[in-house]
Amino acid sequence: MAPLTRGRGLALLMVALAGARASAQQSASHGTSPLGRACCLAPTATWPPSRDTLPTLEREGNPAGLTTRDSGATRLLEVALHRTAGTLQRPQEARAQQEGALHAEGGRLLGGWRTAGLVRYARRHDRDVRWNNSSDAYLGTPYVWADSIGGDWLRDLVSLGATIATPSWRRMSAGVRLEYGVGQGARRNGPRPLFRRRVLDLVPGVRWQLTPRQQIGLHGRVGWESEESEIGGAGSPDDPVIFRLRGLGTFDRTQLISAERALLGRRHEGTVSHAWRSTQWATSASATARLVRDSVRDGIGRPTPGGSSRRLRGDGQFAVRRVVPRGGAQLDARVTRESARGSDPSFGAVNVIDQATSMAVRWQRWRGAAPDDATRWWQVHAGASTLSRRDVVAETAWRVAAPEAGAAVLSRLGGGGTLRGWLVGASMGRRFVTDTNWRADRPTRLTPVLVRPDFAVHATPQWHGGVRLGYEWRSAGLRTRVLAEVARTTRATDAPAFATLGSRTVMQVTYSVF
Amino acid sequence: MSCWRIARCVVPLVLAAVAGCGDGGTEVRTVPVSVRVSYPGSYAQSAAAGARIVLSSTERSSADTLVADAQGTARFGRVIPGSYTISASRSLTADEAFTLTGQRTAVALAAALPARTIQQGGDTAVALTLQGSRLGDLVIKEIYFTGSRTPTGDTYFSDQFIELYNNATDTLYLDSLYIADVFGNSGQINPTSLPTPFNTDANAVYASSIWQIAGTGRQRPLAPGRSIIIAQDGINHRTDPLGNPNSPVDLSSADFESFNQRDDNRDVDAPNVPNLTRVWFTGGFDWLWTVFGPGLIVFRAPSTGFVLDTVRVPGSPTLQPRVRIPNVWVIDAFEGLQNGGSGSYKRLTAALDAGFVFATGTYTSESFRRRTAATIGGRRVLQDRNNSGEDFERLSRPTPRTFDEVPRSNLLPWRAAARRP
Repeated sequence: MAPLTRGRGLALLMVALAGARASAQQSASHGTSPLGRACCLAPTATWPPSRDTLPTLEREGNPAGLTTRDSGATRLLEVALHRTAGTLQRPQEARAQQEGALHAEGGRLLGGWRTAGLVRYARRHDRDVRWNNSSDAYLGTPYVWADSIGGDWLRDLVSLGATIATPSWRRMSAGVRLEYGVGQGARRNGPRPLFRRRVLDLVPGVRWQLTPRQQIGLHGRVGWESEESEIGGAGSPDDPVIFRLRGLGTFDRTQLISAERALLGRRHEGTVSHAWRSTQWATSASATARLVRDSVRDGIGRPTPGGSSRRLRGDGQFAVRRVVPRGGAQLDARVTRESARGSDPSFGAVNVIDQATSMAVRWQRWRGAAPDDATRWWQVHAGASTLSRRDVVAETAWRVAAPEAGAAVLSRLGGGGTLRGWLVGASMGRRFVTDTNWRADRPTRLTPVLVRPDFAVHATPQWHGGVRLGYEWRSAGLRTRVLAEVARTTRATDAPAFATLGSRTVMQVTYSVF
Repeated sequence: MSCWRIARCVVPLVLAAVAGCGDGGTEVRTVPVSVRVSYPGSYAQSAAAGARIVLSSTERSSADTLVADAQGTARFGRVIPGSYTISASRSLTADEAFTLTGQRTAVALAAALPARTIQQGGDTAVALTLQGSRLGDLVIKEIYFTGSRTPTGDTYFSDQFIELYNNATDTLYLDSLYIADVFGNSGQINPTSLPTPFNTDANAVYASSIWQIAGTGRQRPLAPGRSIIIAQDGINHRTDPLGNPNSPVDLSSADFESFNQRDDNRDVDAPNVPNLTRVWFTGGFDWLWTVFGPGLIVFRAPSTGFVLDTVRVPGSPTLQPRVRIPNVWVIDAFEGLQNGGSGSYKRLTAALDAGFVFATGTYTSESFRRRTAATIGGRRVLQDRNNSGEDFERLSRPTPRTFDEVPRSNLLPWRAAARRP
């Protein structure tokens, strides 16, 4: 059993690099959505994986799964500097993004109870954000505030998380996780729009130990989100023009002195999961159904509905890991389907209809007694996604189908278990586009500004490559690691339709102690 | 219980939950809209045959027009659900008015439902009852309220003006004529902006400021087809040191200006332009109309005199009182609002003005000019259906004293279809 449950090793390395950042963002953005930002820039199963992939109920998100965590106290402290820049971007994304983040998490055994928590603070500087005056134009709702000016934003993001799980009692245990995220940001140029966003999620779960080797879990999620936005007011030299985006080109605009908008959302989620393990094998599987609803309201004195959206999503996951004395291997598979509809109060009906599916399979193998001491680690992955979007009134619709594949390798120079060593890695991937369809029979002035460029990003074949270099040492029972990563995604076509798209580069330096 | 047994119970429940949630709501589909137009209850017949019915989208720059049949109804077949202003108008000649009312006076009738939401889910039937007011021989020919930008990008609003036009066949006398702006927000220009609390009074309008053309009765003649300009400041705004080189107007030859005499001399008096008489004023340095779209009226008080009927603004005790003006005094009216969706902020009743106009923004130099209905012997007869939305067209720049052709200003031009990359 030991190889399966010891430490965090390479998995923690991956968490340290991407997971911490991703988890905090996910708490504010409902997780990675095939409709959201993650669908276009990088392969869906890119390297490195964003979280510990050990097949357990905890991996499937069940807080009661914490009970079965074999390690006692865990800890992680991380400081990360991150920069993303390039023209391969969705039209409402920042042209460049710089972020400094401090992340800490840990877990303790208190009597028979297990606890875990995390805290993260990030300060982000987004440069040249256009057509987006909200926290994130790609969160899901099509009802987004914007102005045509654009500019640089400063954001402060705080995430807190706490989990507690009971001891096993009659082969059962329960757990609950609380996730809270708060963020605020403001543009640095007039008319200085700003937003405040709060997200609160309560995740209760239960676990049954069916047999010594297998367990089953049920957990749910109830979440609340609210976001208030403001624009104009004192200090604005001009009357700002507000665009209320309402779909793929559908919008209205007006000039005003100041305005406020509120977004309120609720989400409900249910997951059933199963885990099985033996000396050499471990599996986990889960099925999740999620419903997210949100609505937008403009003004205070005479509030007017700005639109409501409803997103329904189903996820299926499966993972199997095999460990042998000199290494191990793991296969992960995931299927996601999401449908979203936006009801426009102007029409009293659904005007925006989105459908997305994604499938991904990842196989990873490592050489070494345990993943955290592996001297070599390989991964290949493949996946496919489809995304279709439609705006009824604008008679605009597009669809993209894109399979993708990639591979990654990570090597420890100096061998596993040594006190000091270098980490060297590389990854590459290719995103193909096998089918596209574009139709805009009633385009508006925003169709060429927002809709067509977004379609172009999705419809662009891409290359993805990255390199990584790190150094690690251990002292006083602590492992310290400094890691630098550069990854680049590049347009892989010379077609004139995609001429404005170039590449996007991610650079990150992380200092971790765990 | 084995895991398979549990799975067989739970997984179908999850799938059923997903399937049962459905997709929520139906897609946008066109709907038919029937509009029935009636004459006022005191008229000899109900069905307003021949009424002109306009269905204009408050979100898209589109409008459909039909003429009511003998039953006073018209049916719009394929309407995209959304927010619309539905208006109807009917101009009665003196003979037609005599048949219907016994009064041989030409009258303009109008009705409107501003910002009416049409939703799918069946046949939408709308009923409008026309309201009448006398046809104004003196009409507002043009209003320029949006202001302009200076070369440095600053805002400039001192070049606002209103132009009054003699639409009759006889000379009119402007002595003692009043011009006023109407109290109320133009739309939700601030988060807490509310429609005017006076909108419950269908028989009057409430003026913020009132100015008067001085005269004893026949000192200010205005020949048919001629107009006068009333400026906020009667200067050449392009060349005056206090002006704006980018201003679209030279108002140094205006007929009147609204000089607001103050102890601090913040408003400069243009010596060559006669001043209006300030009757009631609640503004600041100038008689500034909101650049988001004002409501303006031209009226005459009874010959017995004008006693100011001041009224406190409900809910705003600190504001200066406004002056109640009965509808029957109003000769002509104009309504501008913030945007197409601001119909609920209308300050004027449908009897005075069934519609409204809106600019594409503030400080755009856009102007609103009344359309020409006919040209008779070289004299233009301007359209007056008591509906600003129909009667006025938006121009990219003002045309004081002229009817020069200038580009119309469009809000949302639809582009040609684009297909496949």
